[in-house]
Amino acid sequence: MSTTTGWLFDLYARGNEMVLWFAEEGGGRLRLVDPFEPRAFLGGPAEDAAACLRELGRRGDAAPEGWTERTDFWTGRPRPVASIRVLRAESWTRTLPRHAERFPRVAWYNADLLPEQCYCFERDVYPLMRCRVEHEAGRLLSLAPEDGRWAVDYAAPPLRTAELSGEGSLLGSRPRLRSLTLAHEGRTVTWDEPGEMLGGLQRALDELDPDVILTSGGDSFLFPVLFALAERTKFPFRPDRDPLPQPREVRTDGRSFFSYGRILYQAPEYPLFGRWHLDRKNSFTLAHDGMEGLFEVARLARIPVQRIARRSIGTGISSIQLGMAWREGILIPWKKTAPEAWKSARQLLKSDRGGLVYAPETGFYENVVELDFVAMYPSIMSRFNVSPETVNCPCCRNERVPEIGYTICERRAGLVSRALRPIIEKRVHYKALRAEAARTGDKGAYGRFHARQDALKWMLVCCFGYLGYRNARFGRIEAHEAVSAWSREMILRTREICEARGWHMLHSNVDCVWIVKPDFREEEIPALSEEIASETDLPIALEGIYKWLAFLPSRQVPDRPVPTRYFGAFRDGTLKYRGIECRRSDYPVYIKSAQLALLEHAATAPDAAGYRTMVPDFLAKIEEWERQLREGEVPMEQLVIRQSLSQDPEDYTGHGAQSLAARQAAQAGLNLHAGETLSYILTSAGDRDRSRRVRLTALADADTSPDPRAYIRLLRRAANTVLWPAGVTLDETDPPPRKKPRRSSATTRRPGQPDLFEQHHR
Amino acid sequence: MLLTRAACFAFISPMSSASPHPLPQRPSSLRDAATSAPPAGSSLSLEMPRRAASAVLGGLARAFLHERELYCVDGANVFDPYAFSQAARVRGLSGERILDRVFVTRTFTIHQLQAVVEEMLPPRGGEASGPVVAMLGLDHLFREETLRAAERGRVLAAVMARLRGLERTDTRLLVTYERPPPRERFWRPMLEFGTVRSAVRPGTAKGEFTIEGYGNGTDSTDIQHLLAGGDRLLEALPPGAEGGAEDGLRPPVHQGAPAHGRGGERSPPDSIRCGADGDPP
Ligand SMILES: [Zn+2]
Repeated sequence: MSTTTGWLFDLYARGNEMVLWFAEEGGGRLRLVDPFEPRAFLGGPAEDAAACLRELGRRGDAAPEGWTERTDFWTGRPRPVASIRVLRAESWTRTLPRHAERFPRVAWYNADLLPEQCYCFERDVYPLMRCRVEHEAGRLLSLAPEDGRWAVDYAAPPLRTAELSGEGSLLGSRPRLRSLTLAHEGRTVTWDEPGEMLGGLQRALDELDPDVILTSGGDSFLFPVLFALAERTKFPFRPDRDPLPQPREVRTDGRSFFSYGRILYQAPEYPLFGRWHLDRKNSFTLAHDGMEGLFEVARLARIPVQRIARRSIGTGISSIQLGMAWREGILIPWKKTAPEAWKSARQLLKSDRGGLVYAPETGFYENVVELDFVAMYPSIMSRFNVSPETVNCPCCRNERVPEIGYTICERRAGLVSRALRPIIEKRVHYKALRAEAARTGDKGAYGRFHARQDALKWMLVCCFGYLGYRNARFGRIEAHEAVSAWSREMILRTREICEARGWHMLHSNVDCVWIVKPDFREEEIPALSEEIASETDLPIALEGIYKWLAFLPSRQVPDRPVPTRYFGAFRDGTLKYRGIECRRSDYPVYIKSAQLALLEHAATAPDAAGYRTMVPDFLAKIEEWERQLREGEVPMEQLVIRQSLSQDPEDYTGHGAQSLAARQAAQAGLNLHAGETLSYILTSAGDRDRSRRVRLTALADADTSPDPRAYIRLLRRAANTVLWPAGVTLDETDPPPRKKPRRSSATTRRPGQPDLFEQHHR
Repeated sequence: MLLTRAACFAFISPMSSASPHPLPQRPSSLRDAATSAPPAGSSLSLEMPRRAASAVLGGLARAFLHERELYCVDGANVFDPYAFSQAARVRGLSGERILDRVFVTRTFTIHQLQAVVEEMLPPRGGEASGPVVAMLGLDHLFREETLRAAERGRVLAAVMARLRGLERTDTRLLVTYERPPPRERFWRPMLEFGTVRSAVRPGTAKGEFTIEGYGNGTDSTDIQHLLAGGDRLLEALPPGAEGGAEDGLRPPVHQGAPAHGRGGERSPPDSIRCGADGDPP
């Protein structure tokens, strides 16, 4: 028997075993197996359940363990169920629906959890757990944790990471790779010859033995092309660390599918076995919060790193709830969620309203105070015990939810609310650690704690959405409505308190309020926050005091205010902006950074008057950018427009830039799907030949050149947002020149217009 | 006059051969239909754009709500009380009052839909006359592509069997669905449902709707008038759009307009705060 200390690096099911990889403290990597069969339960009418159990046993899909009792999720009462062990975990996702269809009256519980999740729940372990391992002859004997899931000061294992990148194209029937690069600790190897790529990469992998292969687009492009190449050339390509051959389907093509009212695009997935492949382009958490954020989520959710990386944040929060239910013996129903009770259309008007929004009073303001409720929705769920099984429970009647009069159970603490509490607390803890790191100037710790708290923030944000989400396991529309009703009530109370203390509310948006008061003293604010917090029972914090702040009108209807379209600078010079061009994904980088540069300059203005005096500086900058655009000095990649496809390319009609680009993609045989991103350049915006107006980046060549007029229009549109508080508007309409754009003169004025700029009227 | 129009709408009969699903039996006379809801045991199925459901339902309210309660099983998250009450008000009903006689349950999975149909129908209403049950966007959840086709087919068959059972009670049924995709065999139980079947189609002009296969001379003018030119509400409803136009019932924005919008996925608060607006370049 041997003993070692390290981290649980990865786990996956093979037959009736779980394969476990450990990253040993000394740098070694250890593969062990542990016999494991996931447990599930079934209930329903006794004779149906009995027949189903016989069938499961006869086919060898599961082994019955006998009848037992577990807690019903909805009622909290004990329920008799038959326990089974799933014998072929890998094929269970295919066999379960067949049994379910054959025995429609049988109710299934805990039946569709991942085997890896079940293993972690049952053994009380989690990915990246630091532990002491006893093993013998490749088999795990015991596993003792040395840290906890809720610990905040855990250490992540030191991992060997290699970055794999490549260039090529998926165009046409035969995907091609022009070059392949592997980078590791500052060393870079590049292969340009197709004949050398696989061999070279394989040798490098064998030699470096990386734990992690990082890519940008490895799932949708690199790995499928590499596997296809290996198949074509009969090369034994083995990117896994696991010595056994792994089941893997090679697809170069993702798929779009219709799911609960939305078109989703799913890229193929290429996880590795015994090492990780992480694709930044196929991982929200990795892209947003890096490895630290990903580790935090994997540990809490108890889902292996490669899998949780490729799933939505909701999967993480849902797995935390599942784990809690599992450990407490609460049955997790499969597919059966309670339908909504009848409610009258009048009740629906009241309850289906979302958060409370007071439209902003459009204008340019000084000394605005912004107060934000901290994680308002999760806090409501946690403090007021809102959970699917506690709303309108059968046992109580208190009509406690404001406005809509739903009852909240007084006897049971809800699963969702209980699962949230430690996450909220852990995030508060991380934020305190982050502040401490900022004080001591420890950049490493700051980054680590920031990423972890940010990953938790996304989980919390998601949690509310999941409560109302149609397909969520612990979703229930009434619980969702109860949270919204409480949030509206709290904003109303906040407004009353503010007004009683002489403040005027300019705007409120779901969980934050913007208030002003002539000649207020900064010392008043803590008392105000405290009163709001005690009156609402929810934490509220000062987001900041703005030196100046603009609430912008709608672009389409200039008289109409729009929530979440504003920008401002706090007293410390920090900018905050929402809903303006530089936040939009479908604006080119060049235009966005131009707008941001204007805002950053504006952030140095001490007040509104100072802001207005900056207009000449703004105009000078804009003129320079327009010159750069006209003279073709802007690199093309900064002008690329990226838009997500809402339907398949060939289904686009119309002559807007996006439709034209989508049809170009379809005509070129480019394999794009609804849900994927389209990248293109505006080449000749007014061209009679519509096909020449835009050019997909994938089809761009030496002759492709951006149309300066189109980009100048976009630039002016973005600039006008920043100029609005100063009452200045640039002409956004198409200038009349019909000359070659490159030679067009600097003026873009319309006939009869005296100046480049017209005064903005309000 | 309005009463007649609204009610005869319930007896639109597709006659042209172009109609995809011919009618098994024709209503005896439009005059019968004009006075009240469809008789017990009758069921109406309408193929229509998903988003038009609330407005069309409001248009039928007078006929349906005559001494009755209306129960909507909303399978596509399309029931909009504003659009509904406005359409009803155009026909002289008090938009406020009818809201107490219309009940809604929203379903988000086919299994919830099945549970509603099996456990909550017919509803135990307080009124003497049998209820009217509207299955709105019945097809929508069955298009879910992450579920096996066999499973969806089984649940659809179970739901339709239950609805056929309800036809034999004093429940009146209205089923709405969107034009189904070509795999007609899958949809057959739904397409073959209804003693009266027809389709509401968006017209060529914006906001205009016509009834397909409705070929009865003068009455067809009536129907088209009802659904297009003569109907303020449907005019204001662009094809495929959601909700109605200006509406006295809609609260002014400063009193708490829905921040999350109806219909779409409920988004977490942060994504609303970060959300973009305005037109794309
Ligand atoms: Zn209770």
